[in-house]
Amino acid sequence: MPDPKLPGLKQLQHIVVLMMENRSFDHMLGSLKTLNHAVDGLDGTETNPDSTGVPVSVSPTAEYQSQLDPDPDHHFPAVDLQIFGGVATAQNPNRTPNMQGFVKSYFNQQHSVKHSHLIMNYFTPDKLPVLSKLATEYAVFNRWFSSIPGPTLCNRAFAHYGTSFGQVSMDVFYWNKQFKSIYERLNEAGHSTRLYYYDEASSSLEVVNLLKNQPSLFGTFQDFLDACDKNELPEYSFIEPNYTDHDSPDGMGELIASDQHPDHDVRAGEQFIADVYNAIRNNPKLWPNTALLIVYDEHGGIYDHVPPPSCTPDTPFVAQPSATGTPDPFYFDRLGVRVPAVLVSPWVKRGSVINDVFEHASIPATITNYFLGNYPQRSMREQAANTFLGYLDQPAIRPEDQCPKFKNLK
Amino acid sequence: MEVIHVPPPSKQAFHKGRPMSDLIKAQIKHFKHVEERLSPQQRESIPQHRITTENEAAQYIHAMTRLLRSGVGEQPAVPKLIPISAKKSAARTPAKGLAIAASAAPSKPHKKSKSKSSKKK
Repeated sequence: MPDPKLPGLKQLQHIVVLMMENRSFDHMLGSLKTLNHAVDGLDGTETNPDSTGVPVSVSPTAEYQSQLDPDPDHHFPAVDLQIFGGVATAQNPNRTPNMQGFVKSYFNQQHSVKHSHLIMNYFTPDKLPVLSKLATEYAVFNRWFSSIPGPTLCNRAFAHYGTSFGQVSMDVFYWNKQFKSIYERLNEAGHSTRLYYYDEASSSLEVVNLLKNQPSLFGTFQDFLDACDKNELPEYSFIEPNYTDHDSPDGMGELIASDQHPDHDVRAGEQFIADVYNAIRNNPKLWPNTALLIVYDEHGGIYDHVPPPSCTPDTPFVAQPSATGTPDPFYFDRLGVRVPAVLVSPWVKRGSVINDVFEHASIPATITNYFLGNYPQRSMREQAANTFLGYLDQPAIRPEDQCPKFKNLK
Repeated sequence: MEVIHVPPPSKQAFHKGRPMSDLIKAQIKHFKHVEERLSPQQRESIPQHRITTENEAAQYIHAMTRLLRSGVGEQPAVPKLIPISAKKSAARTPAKGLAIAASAAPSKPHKKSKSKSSKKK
């Protein structure tokens, strides 16, 4: 637990989490190592063998769109290949997380050796002015991992419930009373909370339980912006980006996907992150008492060089080989691939690089600890997860002119 | 500190005819799971068009979201408690009619249409 006497925590009233889609840490922020050696990014020597055995180097040539089509495979068996390089079973003593299977995995989708190399591409900071600037001006996490070496929905479940209830796929149709969502916990204790999806045509990925059973928890992104303007932001907000290119339901135009999921244009996501940040940053009644976490749900099959560590098993849950698509059961005892994560607050030290290990269960763990305190009915993974508010540790709020501002161009 | 200007997506980036990703397919599957449990009357307003593109998905999702936000699917806040043994088996066996997508099917690249569209923010 962070020291509640920290000035930043004394003032803290709102926590906002923005969860983007499917990009790895190295792909988005790995080049920051050239600016700050404390960032565990890329030095340019990292390689992966392609399907012919030729080493493929990382390359600072990522494009905003068109390179990652088809969408790189990030289901459990593919991620297993990406992490373990093709040594598929724990019975094999050579199975170590060497991060050597990304190019091979991407090759499997199109059987194009040339195209498979694109999975090693990364962005330079000038191409991602928002995420890079926030990461360098506030705090970047060197060790925030997705919760499961698998796809979106089971990973997002960890952000909502602190567990995926044993699921390693997109089929998270299960929940139980024992492990309530963070929103249910807060509501029952009289705290305010909302999930903001972009609009009704993009909606939420948390359909089967929360949207169906508790629709009053939800709002649109416009509702979020209005809440910021009116100083009515809930204590905890979770924001989902726009997941599709679609016609505006009100017939007023076309809305571009802002989730950064391949092959959506990454710039739309940059502008969306800026919109969220600006809504908080530009309100002097909100900025001093709000913490914003920007995090990606999983790596999307894109290269990262840091082997995911082991973790506390999510007992009693076990995913059998029929579910994992691999020879072995999965005990939820190791994390998924590393993802970008940035903590924003005027109480964070400029240029902070956080080396503790985090995963998505850290989100409900942090919110619960801060607003509810002791709360025993939590998954094993959530109970073991680190919390992140201790980094709001500056003795005084940062001056106005030391906190960046963004303007989205049209 | 100077204001940082953020470039917009390209004019060609918008492509509402893009085939759905596995993510959107899963989102549709979850909405269908919910829809199938609604009464025929409740389903009257839900379009039943073929869904292959992002925009087609969005049209269906819009209708379902509006319906759910109106409270038609709402149940008592406390769902059934799944016994520990059932939870374990749930981890192994998908619900009836719900196939676990153990791996993504290799997909072929699609041609991009050049949509000249104005973006609304």
